[in-house]
Amino acid sequence: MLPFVYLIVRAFDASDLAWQLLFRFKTLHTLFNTLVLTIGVVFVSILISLPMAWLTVRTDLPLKRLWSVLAALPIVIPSYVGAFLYITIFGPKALFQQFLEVIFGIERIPSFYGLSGAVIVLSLLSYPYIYLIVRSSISNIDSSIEDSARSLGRSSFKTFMTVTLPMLRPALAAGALLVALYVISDFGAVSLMRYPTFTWSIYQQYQGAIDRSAAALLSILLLLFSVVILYLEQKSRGRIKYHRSGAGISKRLSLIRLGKWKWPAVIFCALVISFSLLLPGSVLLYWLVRGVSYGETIASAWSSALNSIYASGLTAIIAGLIAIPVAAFIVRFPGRIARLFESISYVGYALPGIVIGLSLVFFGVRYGGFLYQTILILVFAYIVLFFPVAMGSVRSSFAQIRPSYEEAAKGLGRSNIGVMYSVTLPLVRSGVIVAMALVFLITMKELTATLILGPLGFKTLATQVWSFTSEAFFAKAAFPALLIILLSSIPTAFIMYKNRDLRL
Amino acid sequence: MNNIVLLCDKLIKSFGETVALNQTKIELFNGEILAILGPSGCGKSTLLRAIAGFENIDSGDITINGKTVSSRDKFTPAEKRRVGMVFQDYALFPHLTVEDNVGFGTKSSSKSDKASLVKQMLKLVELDGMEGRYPHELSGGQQQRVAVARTLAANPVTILLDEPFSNLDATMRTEIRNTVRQALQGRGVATIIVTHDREEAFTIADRVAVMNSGQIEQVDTPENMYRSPVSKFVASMTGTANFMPAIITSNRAVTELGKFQWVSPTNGIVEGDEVELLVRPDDFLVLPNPNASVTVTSREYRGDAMVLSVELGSGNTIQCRQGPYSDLPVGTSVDLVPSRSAPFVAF
Repeated sequence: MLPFVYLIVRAFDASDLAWQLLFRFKTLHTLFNTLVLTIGVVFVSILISLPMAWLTVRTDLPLKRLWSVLAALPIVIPSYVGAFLYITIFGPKALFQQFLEVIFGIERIPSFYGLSGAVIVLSLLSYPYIYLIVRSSISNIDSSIEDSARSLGRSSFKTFMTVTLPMLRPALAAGALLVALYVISDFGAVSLMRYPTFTWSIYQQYQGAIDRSAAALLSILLLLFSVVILYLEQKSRGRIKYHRSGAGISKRLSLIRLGKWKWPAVIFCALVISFSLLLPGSVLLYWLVRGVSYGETIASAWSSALNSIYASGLTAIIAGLIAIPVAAFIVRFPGRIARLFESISYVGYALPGIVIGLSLVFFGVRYGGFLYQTILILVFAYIVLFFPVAMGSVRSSFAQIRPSYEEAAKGLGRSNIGVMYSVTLPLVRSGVIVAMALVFLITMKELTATLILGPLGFKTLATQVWSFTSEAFFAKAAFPALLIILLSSIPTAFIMYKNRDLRL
Repeated sequence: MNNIVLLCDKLIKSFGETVALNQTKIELFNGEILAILGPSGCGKSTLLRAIAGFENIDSGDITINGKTVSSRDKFTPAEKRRVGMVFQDYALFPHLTVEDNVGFGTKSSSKSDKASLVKQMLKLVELDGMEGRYPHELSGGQQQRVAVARTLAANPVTILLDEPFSNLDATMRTEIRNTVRQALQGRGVATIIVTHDREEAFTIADRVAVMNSGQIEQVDTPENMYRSPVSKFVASMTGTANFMPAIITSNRAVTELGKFQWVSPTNGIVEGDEVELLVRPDDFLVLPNPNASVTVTSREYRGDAMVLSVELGSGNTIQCRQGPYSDLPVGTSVDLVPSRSAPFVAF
């Protein structure tokens, strides 16, 4: 909390110049850019993920398991890596254009930079968030509800539109929320795509201007933007509840036969996978091979990899451990304090890394001199950023422990501490491990806070990829990029294996 | 009255090794309520899903109002059958209000027609004024009645209810059952209720069909079902059944409690056969007699009755229901005096 207070303080004693800057036309323009990009990405992501999720759960799509796993994989590609790969495919004078030139003699293709490119790149990278949530929601819909609609005279298509789709609304909203927050806090992809949004402007102000108050003001604006999105999502839930209303047993879902739609569906899936996974993957390999053949050393990546693992691992362990008592408190003693705690950590979801980074810089420079420029302040920033993620997982595993389990153990003669060790902790253990894996995965990919707060000379894989790509040394960026993807794939696979809802 | 609305003939359906429907035959007449009673896994839910059009059959015919809807090479989709199904978990649409749920399947074009139909249906199930609620804001019993109203409002040819009252607690069950029964009878829709609860089947249905391993063993009125079951299985499904060994002599069955008149549902029994007589709990009066060889081994007090388990000389145990003031302690030697005038059923 302290950093925000400071951010606000800092903003208040901002100079007139900074205030003028804020109310300039350019700021409005940035706001508009961010808004359009967010809406565009959410919309395109839904267009990709909704049919994908439905096809892989409810129909007799050929190779269903393969598609369902592949569709989730782009989640491990960090946005700046994805953006650099797409740029080297579709950018001016890049692979795709060279290919067209050789075959058809086409020398110019529409520019890939700017809004449309940013929408495409970010959608292809972030649709798995919606896909995974909608998928688990679709498989939880009781088939008797769809059967009811059928026996009341609606066709399969109408049933989907009037019953299934409205029931997916909360899942879509939750997925859209994640994607929207992903987009507005993204810095890497929008910078590479040369599309000025908030994060980009804040970074420019921070880097270029002497008066950093403007950056603080913009950060607050960005924060407000996130909070508004969060509020809208909360509000959209309304009075309707979407869990099953009856207490009956759920039956297995009957698969819908695609019939003549089978091949169009396969082509759709193949297209999505080609663009979101196959194409960037093969281009990454291309750069890797080129880099190696030009004699690029890959040795420098190893020390960054160690740094990444060290910082992410430390963050994961600390965040996971802190989450245990906090989650226990929130679940066991629900009340005003618990609710306050909860909503604070929920707002945390909406915090862009750049805002945390900046506020800690301001704070560190003035008050925490000895911490500033150490890895500790970076880890602290990571924890502030990703603690909510850890909380979510640990909390839900606490919530699944019925108080009666603990009471039963007490009734059998265990002391409070004994109950904790023999019953509670073993039951939450896998939730804590999942939390740590999640935090590790996200920290590994984090770019902005690392750029701002990392000690001088401290390079992680993310910052290394970033510095190479922003200077267009793609061949050099390929190896660290591959390492990030590989290192974040391990916890991702683990999480999907552990989490019943996400299991594919 | 005697128009057949629904006819299932020689239905066969198997899931891999398990045979769910085995030559199943059912007739449903206009305006009647038929209960299908059977243990779980007997195929009754599969039968219901086959009739509703959620499950295809391997062979046989399902005919609704004279039109074949399911057969080896014909399958009418569920939405074209006009068969209303009420699910065990009610399957109310959680995103729609009670009014929109009930109005979901109605065909009427004008809004006011629809609204008045919904109103009428809700009145029928005694839920007037609940139009604006969402399903999760209702109790289990109210949700159940909304599901019935929703099905009735779609004006189906026949209604199927799958274990409709099993999720309700015992105190509400009787009341809701009556409401639903009146609503169904008021609309005169031919109805099938699937249940494993004998009391439910007996109180709500005009006729009961007992199903066992995919086959219908007997279809009859509840009274006949209880009094003259055709098999030991039906006897056990329709109430507490004790079986007492007996030997057939000329028109009497000789047991350790004496000679009794008997009947056989199968006509296959001849003199000298060893059979078992069906003894219902109300068939004998228990009277103390210090010299008798029958003893009371346990008591189960139910408030409105005292059920005594008595052990016969041979070691056989039978249950006898006595009045609530029967105060015979465990270990008492007793006489069993037949209180039944009708002949015993022999298997």
